[in-house]
Amino acid sequence: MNALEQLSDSLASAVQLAGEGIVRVEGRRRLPSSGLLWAGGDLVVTAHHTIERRSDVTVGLPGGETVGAKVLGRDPATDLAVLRLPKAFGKPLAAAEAEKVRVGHMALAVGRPGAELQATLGIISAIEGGWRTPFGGQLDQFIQSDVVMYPGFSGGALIDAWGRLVGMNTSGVLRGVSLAVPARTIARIAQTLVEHGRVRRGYLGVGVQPARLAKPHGASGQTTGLLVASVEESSPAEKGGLLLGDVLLTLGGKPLASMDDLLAALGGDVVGQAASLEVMRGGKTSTIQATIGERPAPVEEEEE
Amino acid sequence: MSAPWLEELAENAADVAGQARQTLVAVVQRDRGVGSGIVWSPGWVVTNAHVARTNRLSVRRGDGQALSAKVRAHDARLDLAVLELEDEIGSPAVIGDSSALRTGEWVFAVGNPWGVTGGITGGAVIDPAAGRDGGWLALGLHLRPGHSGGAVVNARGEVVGVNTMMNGPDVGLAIASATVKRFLAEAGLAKTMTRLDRAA
Repeated sequence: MNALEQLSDSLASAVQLAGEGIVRVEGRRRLPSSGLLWAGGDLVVTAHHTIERRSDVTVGLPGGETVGAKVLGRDPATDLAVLRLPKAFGKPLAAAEAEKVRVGHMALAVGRPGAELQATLGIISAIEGGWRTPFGGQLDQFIQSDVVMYPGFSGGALIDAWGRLVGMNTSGVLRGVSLAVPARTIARIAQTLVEHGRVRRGYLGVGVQPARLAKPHGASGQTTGLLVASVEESSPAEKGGLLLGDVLLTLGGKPLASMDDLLAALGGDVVGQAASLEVMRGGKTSTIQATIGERPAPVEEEEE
Repeated sequence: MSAPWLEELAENAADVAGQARQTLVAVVQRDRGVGSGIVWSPGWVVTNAHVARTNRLSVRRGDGQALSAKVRAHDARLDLAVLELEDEIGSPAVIGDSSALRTGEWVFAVGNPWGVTGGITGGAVIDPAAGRDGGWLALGLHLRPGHSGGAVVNARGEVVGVNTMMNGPDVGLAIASATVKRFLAEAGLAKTMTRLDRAA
């Protein structure tokens, strides 16, 4: 075989190898999505946004068999859901070493929305450090590729040229961007979902927008705070006495200069804890005590 | 500095592109623009039905030679047509086995995109058995007006499909060579074309 034939053959073999760990997930009307066999092979990780119902989810295995699956938990913030199969099937994909995946590497998106595998080829377009999704979830890396997301590819694998898992593809987080949820993030979130059925996130109950401060504040010299534009009823914010027009400066001593700062300060570990909020009200700085709540789960759609 | 195998890869790709171009002719429909065709065997061209809608066709080779052509088979549903040329020109294409295609493997499409003679584009096989009957290839490459009727070749330069249309902005659809072979057999042309093939 010449170099071109070897390349072509290697790509097809990478797809075939990865395909042993890629399943079809039927959890919504019309278009099935894809999923990854996980852990011991009795779990499936898929894209949360493709699971529209809690029961009656079926999984199409690499061998062609179809089995029922139970939704163990889901995390809308990272677009991950974990399903449990009646027993272990097949072989989960080996993960690529995150540090060795580089911008410019060839990558393939592999999905199984039908009976057979499908794949698209592209390159890794961007890799950045930790990144927060628009829904508040923390990804260990931002991994963007230029693979075409064929219908039903969400929940499938982004693999390297050796057929190893780089991440789970989803088009449900950023519209028009082929984003992969890193393998490391999947491992972390999947474990939490298996243990607790959900990922806890802190909740204050305010709608905010960044606002410039009249003069730099505190030791960090922050120049922006977060203007409170709405306060939800019976929320920790309301109980703590926050008012419309307050400007949040710090939470637990950490500066709140952007939305991201606030989301980062409201991790699952602070649920139920008392926290002091520094606020600017009428030109004066004061401190308010609030007990951080747990962000309520999104309202589930009606069962079919 | 690039690795030697990367240079070899580029050379191989250029060779396959050259091979694919050998199979290519332009199919000219009077007043309807230019499509592509594949010299399946000397004197015989396979193309899309939508590229051969009139019986007043001519076929142009890469060297500029123009020949008149007659439509010998036409199936609008399959979107396939066979043309017989006035002369037994061209060397036969090597026809590959589309049923052996694997998901993820590399292919090239050759044609006359936007009238550019012998334009080459490449990508990976998304689904080697696409369409309701599995007789199509879904490909990760962009087909443009003028590509229709041209060849899809694999990494060995064998014809595995006929460029036909786009499905959405990023997915090219081609008729699998196995489908073409069935069509030729049903049209009663398979033997004629093979005989000429052997004679060449």
